[in-house]
Amino acid sequence: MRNIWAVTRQTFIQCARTRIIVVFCLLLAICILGTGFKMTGDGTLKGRIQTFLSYSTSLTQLLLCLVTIFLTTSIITSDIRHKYIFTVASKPLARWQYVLGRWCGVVGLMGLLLIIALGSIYLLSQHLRKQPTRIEREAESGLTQPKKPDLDRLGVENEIFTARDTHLPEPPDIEKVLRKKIKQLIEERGKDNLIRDHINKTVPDKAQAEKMLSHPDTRQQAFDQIESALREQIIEDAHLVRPGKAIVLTFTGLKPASADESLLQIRYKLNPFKSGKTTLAGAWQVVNPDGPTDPPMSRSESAKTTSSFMIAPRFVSEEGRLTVFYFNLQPETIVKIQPRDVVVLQRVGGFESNFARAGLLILIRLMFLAAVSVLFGVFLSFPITSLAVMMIFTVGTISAFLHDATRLPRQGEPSAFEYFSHYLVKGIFIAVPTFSRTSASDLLVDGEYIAPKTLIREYLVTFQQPGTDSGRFWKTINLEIQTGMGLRTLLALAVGWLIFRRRELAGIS
Amino acid sequence: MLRERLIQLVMLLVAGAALTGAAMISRPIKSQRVELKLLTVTSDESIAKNPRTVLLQVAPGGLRAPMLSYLWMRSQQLKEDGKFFDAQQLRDLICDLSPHFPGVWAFHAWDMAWNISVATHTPEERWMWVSNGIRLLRDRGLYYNPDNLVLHKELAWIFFSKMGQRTDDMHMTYKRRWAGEMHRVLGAPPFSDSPDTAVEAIRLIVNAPYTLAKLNADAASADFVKRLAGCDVKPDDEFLNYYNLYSGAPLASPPKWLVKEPTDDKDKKIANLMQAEELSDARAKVLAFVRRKVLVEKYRMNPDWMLELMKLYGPMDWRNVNSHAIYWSTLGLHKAEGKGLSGINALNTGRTLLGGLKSLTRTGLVYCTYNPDNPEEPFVDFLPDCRFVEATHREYLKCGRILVKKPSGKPGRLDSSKNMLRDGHITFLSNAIQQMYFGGWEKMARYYYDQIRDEDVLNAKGDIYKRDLHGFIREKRRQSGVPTTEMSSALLTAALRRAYRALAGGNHDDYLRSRALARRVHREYRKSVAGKPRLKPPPFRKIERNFLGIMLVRPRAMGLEVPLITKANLYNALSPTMQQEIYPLVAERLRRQCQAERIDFNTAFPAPAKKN
Repeated sequence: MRNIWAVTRQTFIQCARTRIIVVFCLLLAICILGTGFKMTGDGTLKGRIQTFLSYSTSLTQLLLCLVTIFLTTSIITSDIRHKYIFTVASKPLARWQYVLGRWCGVVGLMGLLLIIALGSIYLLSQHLRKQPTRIEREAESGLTQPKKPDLDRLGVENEIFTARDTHLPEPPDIEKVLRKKIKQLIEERGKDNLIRDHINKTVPDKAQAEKMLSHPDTRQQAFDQIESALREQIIEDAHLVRPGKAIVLTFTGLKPASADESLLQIRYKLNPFKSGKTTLAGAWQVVNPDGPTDPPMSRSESAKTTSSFMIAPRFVSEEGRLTVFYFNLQPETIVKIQPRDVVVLQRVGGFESNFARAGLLILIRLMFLAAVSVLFGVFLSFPITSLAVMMIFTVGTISAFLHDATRLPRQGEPSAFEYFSHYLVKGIFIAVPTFSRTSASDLLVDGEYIAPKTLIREYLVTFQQPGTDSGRFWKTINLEIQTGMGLRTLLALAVGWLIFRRRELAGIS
Repeated sequence: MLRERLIQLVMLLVAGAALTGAAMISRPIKSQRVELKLLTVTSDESIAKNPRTVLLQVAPGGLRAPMLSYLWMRSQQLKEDGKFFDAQQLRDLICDLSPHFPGVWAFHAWDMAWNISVATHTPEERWMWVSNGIRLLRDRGLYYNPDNLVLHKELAWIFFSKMGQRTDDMHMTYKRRWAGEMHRVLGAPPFSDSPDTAVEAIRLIVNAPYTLAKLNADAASADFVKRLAGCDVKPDDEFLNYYNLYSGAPLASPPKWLVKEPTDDKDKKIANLMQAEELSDARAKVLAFVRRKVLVEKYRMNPDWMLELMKLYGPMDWRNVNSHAIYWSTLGLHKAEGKGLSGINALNTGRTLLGGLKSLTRTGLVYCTYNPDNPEEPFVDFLPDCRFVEATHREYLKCGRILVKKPSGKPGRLDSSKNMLRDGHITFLSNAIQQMYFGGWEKMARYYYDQIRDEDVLNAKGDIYKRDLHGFIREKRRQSGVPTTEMSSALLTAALRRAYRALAGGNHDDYLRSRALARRVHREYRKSVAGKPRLKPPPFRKIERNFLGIMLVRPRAMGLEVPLITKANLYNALSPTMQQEIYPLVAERLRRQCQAERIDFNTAFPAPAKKN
C-alpha cells in the first residue's frame, strides 16, 4: 500500500507541475465564468441558468476528459520512452503497483479539479438563481403590477433546482381484449384454420407445412405466434388516439400531495399519422382518481416536439395515482402516443445531492479514460496512445448517433452492409461504454433525478428483467445485465497490468 | 537517410503543388463570389466590424464545416426535445459561422418564428420567438447581407403571414405587441380623411437631422438637448419613454388621469421639460430626431423609403404589421435589383404586396389603448380603412396590365383570360364597394362600381352588374340571405360601434361620419317599415343610449372587447348631455370594475355636471 501511495503522490505532484494543467485550468476558468456571465440563453432566467448548466458542465467534462487522456498518456509513455521507468523498475515495486499508482495519481488530481470546477458551477448557479426574472424586475421598478404566477420563477424552482423522478404510464391492460379477440377469431374461422393459414403463410414448402401441421408442438408454437402478433397489434392500437377520441394514461407510484407540495410536470410528444402536419389541436385533462378534476385544457401542439405543462400536486391521490386524459381534437388526423412519450416528473430530492451525483458520473468517465490511457500507454508510443484513447472517447461520445445510424430497418430485409454495420457497432460497444446514455449535464439541465441505481450501473453492474428495447439474447435468458464504466475501468487496468508485466523494458542489444 | 530525404522532398513538392493550385483557383472563386453577390463591400465591412464573426470565420479553420454540422444537428435535436433554452444562441453561432449564406439566416429565422414559437404555450414565449426570428433577419442577417432579396422576402413574410394573418392562434398577441412597439416610437398618426396629414407626420421624421451634431446646429434644439442632459436623459430611446409618459401628447401618451404625478426631483424636471409650452418647437425637433434615430438604429428602417411608400400607397399606419410586410418586400426588390417603386408590383413580391394592401383595407385603421397592466401589449382595435382601396385597385390594374401585355409590347385587354387576378380583383372591389357604401363613402363606391363594369377596365359580366349601385348593394345583401330587419340592425350596430370607437380614440371625423351613417340607416329602416307598426324601431337617441350602455358595461354581449381605459376615454369624450343620460345606467357597474382594476373611479368616470 505504501508503494502505491508513493507512486500516487509522486504522480499527483508531477501532474500538478505540468504546464498542460495550468493551461487547462485557465481554460476551465474562462469557460465557467464565460458561460456564467456571458450566456443569456433564450432571455428568460430559466433559460439562462439551463444554458449555463448545460455548457459549463459539458465543457468541464470535455476539458477534464482531454486533460486526463493527455496527462495519463504522456506520463506513462514518457516513463518508458525516456527510460525513467528503469529507476522505478529497479525498486522493490511490483508492476501492478506502478500501474495502479499512476492511475490513482491522475484520477486524484482530476477528482480535485472536478470538485473545484463543480463547486464554482454550483456557486455561480446559485448566484444566477437569485437574479430577478423579467416580471420581478418590472414589479421592482414599479412599471407593472406583479403578476401571478411568474412562470419563469416557477420553472427555475420546479424544473432546475430540484431532482425529479420520471414516471411512465401504466401499460394498458390488454389481456381481456386479447382473449376476446382470440375467442372471436376462433369462433369465426376455427383454431385449425388459423394455424394452417399461419403456417402456410410462413412456410412456402407445402410438404414441410403439412409436416409441421401434424406436430402438436409446432402447432402450439404457431398459435403462440398468432397470439403474439395479435398482442402487438392491440398494444399498437392502444397507443393511437383517433380524431374526437381520448386516451387515458394512469400513473402510479407517485408521492401524494400530503408528502410533497412541489409542482409536477407532464412532458409529452405527439406523433401525427398525417405527414406534414405541424400543429395539432388537442386538450389535456388531469384527474385525481379520488378527488379534484380540472376542466380540460385546450392546447395547440407542435407535432413531434416535446412539450410540457405543470400540474398541482393535489391531483395525485393518497395512493399515489394520477390519471391523465388526452383528447385528440384535430380533425382527420390520428395521433400516436408511445408509452415513453408521456411522462410525469415529480420531485424526489434536492438539487445539491443530485449535483453531487452528477459529479460522480463525470468522475467515473475520467476514471475510465485514465485506465484506457494506462492500458495503451504501457505498450504504445504517445501519439498512438493518444489517438487510440481519443478515438474511444469520440466513439463513446457519439454512441447514441452511431446506434441510431446503424439500427436495422424495420421494414424490408436489411442489406449485408446494414447487418455488418449494425453488428460492428454492437461489438464495439461491448468494450467501449456509451457515454451518451447518462449525460450529467442533460440530467442537471432538466432537473432529473440521478438514481442510486444509475450510479451502481455506471460504477458496477445491475441485473434486471429485460424490457421491450432489450436485445434478443437478454430476452432469451430472461435477465438483462447492464454495466457502465466501472467494470470496464477495472478490466482496462487489469489488462494493462498484464501487458506491462510481460513487457521487456530493456532489450539486450 | 537518403530515403527520408526523398520522402521529405516529395512531400515538399506535393505541398508546393497544393499551394500553387490553391493560389490559382482563389482568383476565379473570388470573382464568382462577386458575380453571385456573395461578396459586397458593405457586407465585408460589416463583418470586419464584428470581431466575433471574424474570429469564427478564421479560428475553426478546416473544422468549420464539421462544427457547423454538429451545431445544426444539436439545434434540431434540442428543438425536437422541446428544449429551447439554447435555441437562439446556437442559431446565432451557426449564422455567425456562415454569415454570407442567406439560406442559413432565412432557415433559422423561420425555424424560430414559425416552429419554435408554436411549441410554446404562453403569449410571452410565443412573442419572444417570433421577435427573435425578426431580429435575427433584420438586425443580423440583413446587416451582413444588406442587398439580399431572400432575407427581405422572409422578413416580409413573417410580418404578413405569421403576424398579419390569423393562422396562429395567438396572432392578436403579435399584432398588439408590434403595435405597442411602434406606438412607443411613432405614436398614432394624426386622424384625418386626407392621407396627406399622416404623410406629413412622417415627413417631419424624414427631414429630421441625421446626427446629434446637426441637431445641435439649431440653437433651440441644442439648448433642449442640454437641458435633457442636465436631467441625465439622452436624446435616444430613453427620451421616448419620458416623452410618452409626461408630454400628454394625445397621439402618444396614455390618458392624463392614468399617469402618476412625478415624485422625485429628476422626474419633476423631466416632466416640466416635456410639458413646457415655450419649449414645444425645440421638443418637436428633438422628438423627430429621436424617432428617426430609433427607427434607423433599432428597427433598421429607412424613413425615406417609408415616406415613398406612404406617398404611393396611402397613409400607412406603422403600428399595423401589414405596413411592415409591404415595407420589407418592396425594399428587398429595391436593394437587390435596384428597382424603384414604379418597377415593383404584386407579381415580383409574391403575395405580400397585394395581400398587405388588401389587409390594410380591412384592418388599416388602428386604435391603440394604453394597458396599465402590460404597457408592452396595449389594447388594439383594427377597423377597415377605405383609404387603401385605391392603392389596392391600382396594384391590381398594374399587375393585370403586365399579365395581359402582348409579346409585341402592345397593351392587352384586362378582361382577357390571361389576367389571372381579374376574379380576385372583382371580388375585392365588390366587397370594398359594400364597405364604402355602408361607411358613408357613396361617391367612392360609385366610382369603383363603374370600374368593375367599365368595358375598358374589368368589364364584369352578369345580371348583378346591370343594376345601378343601390340595386347592386340590395342584390348583394339579398344573396347573403340575411333578412332586412337583421341586416338593418347589424348595419346600425356596426356604424355605432365604429363611431364610438373612433370617438374613444380621438378620431372625431370618423365619429361624425359613422354616426351620421347610423342615423341614416335608422331613418331608412323606419321609412321601409312605416306600414308595419310591429317592426317600428325605437327612436335613434334611445338606441344610441342603449348601445353606449352595453358598450360600457357589457361589451361582450356585442362580441366586443372594450378595456376599462377605452371605456373611460369614451365616456369622457361624450357630450355632457349624453353623459348625463348614461351615467346613472353605468356608474355602479363601472365603479366595481374600477375597484377590481385598482383605478380611481371618480377620476376615470367623473360625474357629469348637473342639469340646469
